[in-house]
Amino acid sequence: MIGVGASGPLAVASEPGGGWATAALGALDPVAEQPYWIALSLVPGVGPVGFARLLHRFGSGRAAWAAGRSLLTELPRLPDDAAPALARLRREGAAAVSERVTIATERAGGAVITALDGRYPPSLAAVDPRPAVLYVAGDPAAMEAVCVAVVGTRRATGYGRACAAEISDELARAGVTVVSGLALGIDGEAHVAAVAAGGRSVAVLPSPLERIYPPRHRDLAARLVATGGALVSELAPLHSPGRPDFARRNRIIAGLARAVVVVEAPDRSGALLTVAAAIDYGREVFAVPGPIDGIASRGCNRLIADHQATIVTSAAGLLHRIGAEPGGRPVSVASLSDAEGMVLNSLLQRPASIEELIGRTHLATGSLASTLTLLESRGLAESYGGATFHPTLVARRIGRAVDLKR
Amino acid sequence: VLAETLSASIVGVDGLPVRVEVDVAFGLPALTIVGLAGSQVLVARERVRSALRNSGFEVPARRITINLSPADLPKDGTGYDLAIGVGILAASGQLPATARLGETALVGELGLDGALRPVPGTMALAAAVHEAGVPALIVARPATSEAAVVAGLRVHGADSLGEAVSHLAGVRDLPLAAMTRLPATRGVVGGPDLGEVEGQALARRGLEIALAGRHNLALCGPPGIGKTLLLRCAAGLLPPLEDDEAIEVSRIYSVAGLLDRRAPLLRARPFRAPHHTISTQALVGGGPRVRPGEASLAHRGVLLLDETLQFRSDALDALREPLEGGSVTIARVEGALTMPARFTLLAAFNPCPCGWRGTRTRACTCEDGTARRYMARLSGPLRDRIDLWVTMVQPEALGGRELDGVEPSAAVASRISGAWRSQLQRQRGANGELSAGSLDGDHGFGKDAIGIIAQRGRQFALSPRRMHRTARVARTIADLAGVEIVAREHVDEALSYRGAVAA
Repeated sequence: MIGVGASGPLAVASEPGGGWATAALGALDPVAEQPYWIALSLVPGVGPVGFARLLHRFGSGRAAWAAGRSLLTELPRLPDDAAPALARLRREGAAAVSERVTIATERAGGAVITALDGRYPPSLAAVDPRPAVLYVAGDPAAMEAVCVAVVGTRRATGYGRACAAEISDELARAGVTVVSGLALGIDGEAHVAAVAAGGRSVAVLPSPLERIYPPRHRDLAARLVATGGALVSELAPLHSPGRPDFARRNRIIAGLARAVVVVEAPDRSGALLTVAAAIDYGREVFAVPGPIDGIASRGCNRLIADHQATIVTSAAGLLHRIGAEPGGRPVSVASLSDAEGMVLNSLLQRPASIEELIGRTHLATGSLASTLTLLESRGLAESYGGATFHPTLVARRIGRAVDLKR
Repeated sequence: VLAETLSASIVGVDGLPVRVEVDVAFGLPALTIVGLAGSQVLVARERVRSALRNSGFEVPARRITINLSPADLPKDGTGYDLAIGVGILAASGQLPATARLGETALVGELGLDGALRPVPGTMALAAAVHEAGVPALIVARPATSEAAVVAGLRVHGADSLGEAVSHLAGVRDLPLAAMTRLPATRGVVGGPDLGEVEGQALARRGLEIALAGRHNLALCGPPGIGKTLLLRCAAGLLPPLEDDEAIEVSRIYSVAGLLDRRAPLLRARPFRAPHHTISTQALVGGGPRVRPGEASLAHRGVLLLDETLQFRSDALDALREPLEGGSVTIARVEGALTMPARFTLLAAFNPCPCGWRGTRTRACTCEDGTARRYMARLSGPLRDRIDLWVTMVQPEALGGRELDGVEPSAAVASRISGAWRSQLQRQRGANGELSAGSLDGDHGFGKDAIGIIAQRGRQFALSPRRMHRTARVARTIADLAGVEIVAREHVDEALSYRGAVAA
């Protein structure tokens, strides 16, 4: 994997100054190094690349810290506030800084995990450059299983949400950890479906652990931790800017995952950054196609057209491609009236607005509206925003098990 | 010498009898009006003085004091002119104190030449006079048919002060106005026809239910999808006003000065569509001289707020009270006054400032926060009072729809009218106004219906208020179907308009 990463278009490891690949990490004592790693990672300008160069030049975090101001000359870019920040941190001392950050992390329910730590996610340990320090709440073991990222736009359509839920459900049942970015829209749908299927899900945050972003997903974040999943952030508590850092989050998502599935992405979606990172890291990229007249899927459709992503034609097919075994699923067949059967059958063929369903089923508007509510109350259909109706996961399963078309 | 004449004043949309006392005493020549008279009443002095002189009467060169009683009620307007003028004539001995003077109320504005002119609110003034036990009323001739709406009141129309005085003195009687009758039909109502509206079956159905049971409706959808056209069809779908409603509504229009004096009784249900730049006072009433606002003018009818979210937020908030209680209360220093305002709210708005959020084929250019704040302009309490929510979506890009099967307004109006009849027979009021206590067997709610409402309420996590509103809408859906007992499918259809849970 390291070799693959180094050959990618954005590879840094081959630049002069060395990368993680050339650093002799095995010789370092994780416990003794930790305070210096934490302190160094807080210096502005020390990112994954900068940290790798420091290791390459000085051999250890302790030695780099001892070098004082001269370490700054090794960095790929030097922000204005780097020197004063380093001076402040050095006055405080590495031990005190690390203690302070560790306590704040623990207060947020997390743990500090450096790249030397045994708990550091193995898939991330294989990429270059990698984050030197991670802040993780929940169970880091969730990231040791096969991870697949399910990402997409915040402004998801009903179709996108339904696809995200179905794919995530299928992955979770197969024992795959679903990784995403906790954002509204596709990300949230993917997390929710994975947890609902009894699986584990990992959210990589664009914010530090103590400040969940977006705030509306605070409850969801807590649910992920409670169900054996994890929250991961590269940003230290107390030491991060106010603005969420989506670019770094997306690189971590790509790094954690064996494959990245883009469910729905318009032209300039952040999900496309995740794809760029995934290609960089040599991860397999999948994209769910969408209607060619819809704006929400333009990015996905282009990825497929440009051969940058493999087309997803079904959740089961995706599972097969990544080599996972489909999990079991309970099937219960509800007894449906003729009208219900007709409407559900129509929805299983293609999600539709009430307007379209009237054309397809020739039911009166009132009885159609009534039937949809009944299907909703049975958990067989749902709508997003009241406009378009979709069959639920349960309904799709029943649809596959029993041929409703007769 | 003291004289007394009768007139009346408008308070909100009601009339109140007013006694005009005139005292002519020795002293320096002066004319003083007391009794919380507003600026328009105070300048009555100049009008009355000229009118008296130009009608061939004399203004006594004495100290004249006029008191408008009850003195603690603020009075404004020009309707007291006639009573003041006649009072001066009586107090100065130019008009003998006949029995007629004591039993005739006088309402009208005087011109400088002595001409008598009509004033707004004549219908309400006549009603107040009649309720106070006064048997006769003189108004300006153009206003006679408006005043003659009140049964049992003798109404005379006069063209001038002179004519009124001749009548009161018994010299020449004014003719008695014929009783004004209610028009049999509502007449032709303008506005588009539903037959012109393409597709949008769900929104059409929502509008039909809203108008049949007087439930509040909200349509949300991208620009140009036909929200406005559809809602403007409402005017032609409303059943005519009932007899008592017609008088109630006409009185409000009389006070607002909006009546056609030749046909002063309204049969068509009000349809008001104020522009979104309207001020709060103009929407709910108020101002230095309290006038009925659009909310009261829409009483027993429809208030359409197109581009609802563009209205001032304080204006929208002011609608909470009428939406809940059916009336507007305006608090003033001199005390609160209440005006009726029981209307059906029809709201239409875009899903976000640019209008394209949630549409499939066009990108929304709004920030997430901006769009959320936009929707938040519809405050929670207001949201709670909307019974039917319909999200309008663009028809599929491919596959044109033909207009053949589209129902015209007449067919829908007759269903609405039928549902309205069944409501009147059952409960003498609209389903939208049913209280929580009326969800019982008498109103067609059996054990099954109550059970299904409770069950769905748990499933969809509805508040008790929502469940109650759902029941009322279900009642209307059953009425539209011509069914006496509310069934599961009616409840389920009602729930399909419950609106999306905030995303």
